[in-house]
Amino acid sequence: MATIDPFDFFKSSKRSEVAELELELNHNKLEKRMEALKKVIAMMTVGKDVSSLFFPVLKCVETNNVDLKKLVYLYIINYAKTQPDLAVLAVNTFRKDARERLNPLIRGLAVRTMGCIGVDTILDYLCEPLKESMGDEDPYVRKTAAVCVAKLFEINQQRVEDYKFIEKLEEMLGDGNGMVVSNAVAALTDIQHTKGKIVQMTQTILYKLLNALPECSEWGRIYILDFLADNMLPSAAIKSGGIEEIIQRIVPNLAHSNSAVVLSATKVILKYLDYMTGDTEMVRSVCRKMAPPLISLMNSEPEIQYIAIRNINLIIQKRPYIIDKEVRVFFCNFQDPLYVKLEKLEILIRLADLKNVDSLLNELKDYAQEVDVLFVRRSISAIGRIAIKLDRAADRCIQVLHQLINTKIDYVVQEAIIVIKDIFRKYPNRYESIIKDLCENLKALDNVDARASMIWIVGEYGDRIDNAVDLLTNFSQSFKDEARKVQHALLNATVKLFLKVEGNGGAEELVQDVLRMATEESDNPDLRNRGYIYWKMLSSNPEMAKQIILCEKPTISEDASTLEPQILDKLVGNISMLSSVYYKVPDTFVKKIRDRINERLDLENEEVQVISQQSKQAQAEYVDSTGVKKSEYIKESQVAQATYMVDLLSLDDQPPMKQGGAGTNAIDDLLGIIDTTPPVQHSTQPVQQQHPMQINGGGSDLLDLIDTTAHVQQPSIQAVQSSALDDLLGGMGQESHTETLLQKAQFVKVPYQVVLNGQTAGQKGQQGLQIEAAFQRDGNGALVLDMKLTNLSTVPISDCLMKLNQNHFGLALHDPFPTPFTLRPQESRSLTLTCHQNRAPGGPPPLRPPVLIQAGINCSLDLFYFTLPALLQVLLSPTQLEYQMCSRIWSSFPVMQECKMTMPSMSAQITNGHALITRLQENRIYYLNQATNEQGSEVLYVYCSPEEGDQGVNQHEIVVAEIGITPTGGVEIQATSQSGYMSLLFLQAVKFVLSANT
Amino acid sequence: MSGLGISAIYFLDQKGKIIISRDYRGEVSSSITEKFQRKVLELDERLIKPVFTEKDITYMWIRVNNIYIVSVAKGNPNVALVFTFLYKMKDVFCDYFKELEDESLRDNFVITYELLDEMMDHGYPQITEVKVLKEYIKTEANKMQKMTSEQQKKENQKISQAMTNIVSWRPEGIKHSKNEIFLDVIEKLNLLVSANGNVLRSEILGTVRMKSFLSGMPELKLGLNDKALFDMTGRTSKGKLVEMEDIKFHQCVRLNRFEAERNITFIPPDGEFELMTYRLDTQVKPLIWVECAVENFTRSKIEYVVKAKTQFKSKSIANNVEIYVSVPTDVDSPVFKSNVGTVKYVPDQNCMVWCIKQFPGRKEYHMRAQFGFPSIEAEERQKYSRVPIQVKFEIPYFTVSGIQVRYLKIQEKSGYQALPWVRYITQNGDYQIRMQ
Repeated sequence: MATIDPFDFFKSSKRSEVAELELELNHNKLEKRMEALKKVIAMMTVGKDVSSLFFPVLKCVETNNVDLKKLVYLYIINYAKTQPDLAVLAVNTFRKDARERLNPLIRGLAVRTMGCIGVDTILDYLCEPLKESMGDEDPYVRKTAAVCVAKLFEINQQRVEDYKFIEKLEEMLGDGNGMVVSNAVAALTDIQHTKGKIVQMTQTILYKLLNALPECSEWGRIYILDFLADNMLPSAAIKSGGIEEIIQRIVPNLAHSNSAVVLSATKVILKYLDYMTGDTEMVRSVCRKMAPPLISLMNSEPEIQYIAIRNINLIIQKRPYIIDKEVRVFFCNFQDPLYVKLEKLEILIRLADLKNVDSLLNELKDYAQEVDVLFVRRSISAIGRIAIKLDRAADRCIQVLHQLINTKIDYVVQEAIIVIKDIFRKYPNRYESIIKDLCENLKALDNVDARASMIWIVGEYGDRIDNAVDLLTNFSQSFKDEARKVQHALLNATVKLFLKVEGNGGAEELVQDVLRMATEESDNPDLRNRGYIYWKMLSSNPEMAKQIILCEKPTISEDASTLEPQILDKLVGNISMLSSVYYKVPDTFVKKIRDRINERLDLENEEVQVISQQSKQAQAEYVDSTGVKKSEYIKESQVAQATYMVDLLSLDDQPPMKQGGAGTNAIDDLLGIIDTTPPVQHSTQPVQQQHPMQINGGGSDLLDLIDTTAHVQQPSIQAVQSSALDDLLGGMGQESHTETLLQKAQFVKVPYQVVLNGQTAGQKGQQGLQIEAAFQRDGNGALVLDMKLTNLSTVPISDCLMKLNQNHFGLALHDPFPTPFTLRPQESRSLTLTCHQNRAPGGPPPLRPPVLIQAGINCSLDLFYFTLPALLQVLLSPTQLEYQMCSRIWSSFPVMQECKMTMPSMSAQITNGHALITRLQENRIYYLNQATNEQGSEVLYVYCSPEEGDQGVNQHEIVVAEIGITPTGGVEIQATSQSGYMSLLFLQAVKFVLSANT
Repeated sequence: MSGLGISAIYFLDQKGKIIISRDYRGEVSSSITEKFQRKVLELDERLIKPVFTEKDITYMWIRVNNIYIVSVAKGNPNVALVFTFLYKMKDVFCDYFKELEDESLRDNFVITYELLDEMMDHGYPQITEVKVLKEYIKTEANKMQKMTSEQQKKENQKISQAMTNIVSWRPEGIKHSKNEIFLDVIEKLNLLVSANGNVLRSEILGTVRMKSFLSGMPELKLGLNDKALFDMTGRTSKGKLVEMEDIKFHQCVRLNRFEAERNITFIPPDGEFELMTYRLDTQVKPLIWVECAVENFTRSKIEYVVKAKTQFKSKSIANNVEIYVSVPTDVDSPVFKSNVGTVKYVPDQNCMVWCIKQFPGRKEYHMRAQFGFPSIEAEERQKYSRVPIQVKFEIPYFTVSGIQVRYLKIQEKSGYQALPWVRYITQNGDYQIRMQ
């Protein structure tokens, strides 16, 4: 019977409703109880708290009426999660019902429900009944028990092993009932997901599953088929003719009316076909059988169509002749949702060949006149991609584009320009006549890509367009307001034009003008650097510049969406799964879901390796004609970057020189490294005298550099805008990142602090336990609590239990206190407990530093409460944000909570700016960029965010700080965050990090 | 790496508020529906894909009437399975509640929970056959019958058997006083024709639907004029044979046997069900051809001349023909003239509908329409011409493919005689004719 709090009577009239229900639940008529329970469930669903009725509801379970029991169980499941202590009370009911002899439905119901109650303490009571249920005479109970094993595994893996449940599941694969087999397969799949492979596929298991397949429900078939695809029998283990037999037994599933069965069957067949070498009649006949069912998927619901089309795109990359004559099936219907139409376009491009291109172009032309602008633009783009794909159809494609341009519809013409740029790139000097039409039908050019493409065209064909200089001059007038992409295009185009038309018609003034704007008025370092390099090339050796800039460009091809064979194979193995819809290998997004605390380190290392591999590959790709590898260049620029940081940050050593902007210095330094001439300071002096063009030194070194950049830039015209320098700088950033990470972050050790004094009395008045403690990041980056316990009493201390109170940063102990643990009088012991952070809503944020975590330790001596201080740096997240994201978050701060601090000196180990950054990064305070602040001095920007568990980054708690180095070797720090306490915590942490000696 | 089951299913109302939900794996917080709400309801729904992932959680959703059914999962779920399940679930609910919508869910919390629990366990679909579910999860009307404990025991075992039976779609012991079975062969014609009469795409989607009122556990065998069957057995036929591209069966049909011998054998569920679907890619002449010419398109008016022509045998008749022709958004004062049928202007769909109750084969009808324009021109008046003409119709006693039921053999151990009835009908599917 629930106890009623006397105060509750006064709360509201609702209370009486609950009280009334309680009466009804105790009614001796079944119908009355049933009605009451239904009301309770309805209230629960709309969000009213009916947990106070737990006991009266639980009492109702004493019935052999299944319907009433179902309702009680419904209620229990609902409260199991939020009030596990209550759910525990139902454990006897489960035990009883799971052994109910008369009714298999009740047994099944009990087994199903008890698995949903994730309370560790009651598991012992449930494992025994579960074991019995797995051998129940009724298949309904067995199939429910199979799934229950997967549930149990999630709560406690050890129990599953203790009771040998996995072996039992494997035995179930031979069960006579299809549903039992398929649920056992589902449970094994579920467990394999966490545990890795547990079932070794053998011929016997394979045939058991194949035998069960025809007896299964549609869902059961999918579990089995997916399992077969995931756990392939090694080809060596298959007897001759076995592959054909396996495939033949899967094929009937292609005729199933459930689309998911069809896709899963296709997946298994494709994987086993890989075992068959050569293009035999057998392979072809199987492929022919796959086509009609796949095409029929185009008549299913749009969501399923979408998945099917994404999958078919993979399937025809793998086996092109499965669907090669069926292009019409993928024509768009007027009512198709946009996401289906866009996918159909991709397939149409892939299936385009000389036989079907005419009907395809007619179709695309129709689409290009539809109402939806996005669809229209993609359709036009498709025409261009087909032109690039099929040499011999290019003429026809251009014709269609011609017709479309003549419609004079703005977005049509603009998209056509973008497409035509690529066509020019593929077929130079073939279709220039269309330029005239383009210009005539162009009313507005408001699309960034279209502008950039148009500028590219004018630059490329400048010698044949009479008013090219005027056109580009027009564009250049709004240079400063243009998007970066357009600015880059304009810079490139004017230089090309200048080299092509040489000194006539104002091209020289134009190029000077644009170079000046790019180098002096732009705050985009890439643009500036590129401007300087062009300027230097043009002034030092125009002939050479011409050779480099106007060199022949490699051709492009239409295979941007074609996947690499290994990736394709992996994706084909994932047909019908999310992975095959995103075209991403599951490892790239699934890993993250696993227990992040345990695997964080592995993940970090892996990611670092991926990055370094990628950058290596990228380097390998670019080897220019003179044999200079990009990798060498990167090395040099890295040095340059490093020096630059030193320059910037060791301002205290030498009085700062007044300089224009950080980026300008960078390029000076960059050039200075290669060049033997000392860096030039300009900006304060007249520009003409100080241009890098004037630097004549360097000779071959310099040319090598220029050569490299120019060449690197040329190969990918599609990437004109993301210049080589972009890549280089990006590369540099990553490289330096990688380095710091690879050295396994060196967290500054936090010294012990006495948190519990030996003279402090506990709850029972005993004293004598002294604790010194500190939260740390250990060498692997895991958050730990280092403790030193000393027994100052006269009796041994044992049976310790320790717990942290709920707190704002979600800190909790991961490990229990080690047992057995005994501390003899006067003995001291140190131990390290792993912690984790799980930021469910916890306590209030700290008002001022430090973060204090309330803790309690209960031991044989007494119960002690104390507080543990934590410094912010141990609570920070390893997540690094992209620059754009960070600046976006920062600029979106509605309320700035700024705090300032000056440190007169730093640790002697931090000798220069580089060391400063390294020290901060090692402690998860990441470098963002450097700039000149409002007062005109050079400052560094750094940011950090607290660990969020699964929640990602909490924008409210990001701290961005400006760090300036004072002439005395100290630092001035200004921290900004939306949450005032974060700024304070940050300052405290930085102060500690920068003054500590490691 | 295979995927895990679904984490949870939510039924949301139009505003994105939860009506009812079921958390299967206890791994997501219910606040994630707010994320869904933000994304789907506040952004342009047109641009949102049916699958999207945010912060490691994948959302898969469909819309049914005025509710959203949203399922969420972690990792790499089988999305095809999830969507087929969502649609299957929708069918089950429609069967239980007549209509699946906000109100019907709110009126049936208990049954909804029961169904959600029986259809899915730990995120894995279990039993979704509505006939089997109805054995166990009953609506108010037929629930509380008094039974002795012996009866009860038998009943319970029967139910549990039905749920895990190999013949999961049919419980034992069904009795009908009159053993009958009705077969409907329905063909839908999907057609896309360009303005100049070129058939761009044509496709026949056939369905064989059955209404079975047979007692016991009958064994059925269906014979069609299937070309592949005749080829396989080496027989020849005097009549026309049909080459079906892709046949899909209800789960009662023994797929292995069909694969091996091309025989369609099965134990049918009781009542109405879809036995099989098939598809034919044969080029079909438009059964009803519509031409539409726009004349005198000026600032103040627009005139249409619409010509409709049937291109099937004169002894067949198309019933309830509706021809939808799109008009500019801002037309007014319509005037229609036609020798047959009635014409209506439907402003909210920006089209006119020409309805002809009966349209015999080999006939041609004409219609003229005139609309005025207001003095201020609406934007993009021209866009009407992008919307294709749509035609709806039904032609009874006729199949485009020429498919025929040759026999339906019924065998039951009690040896009763049963009568099969067969009907044929051809309907429009996605039937579109592009305008000039």
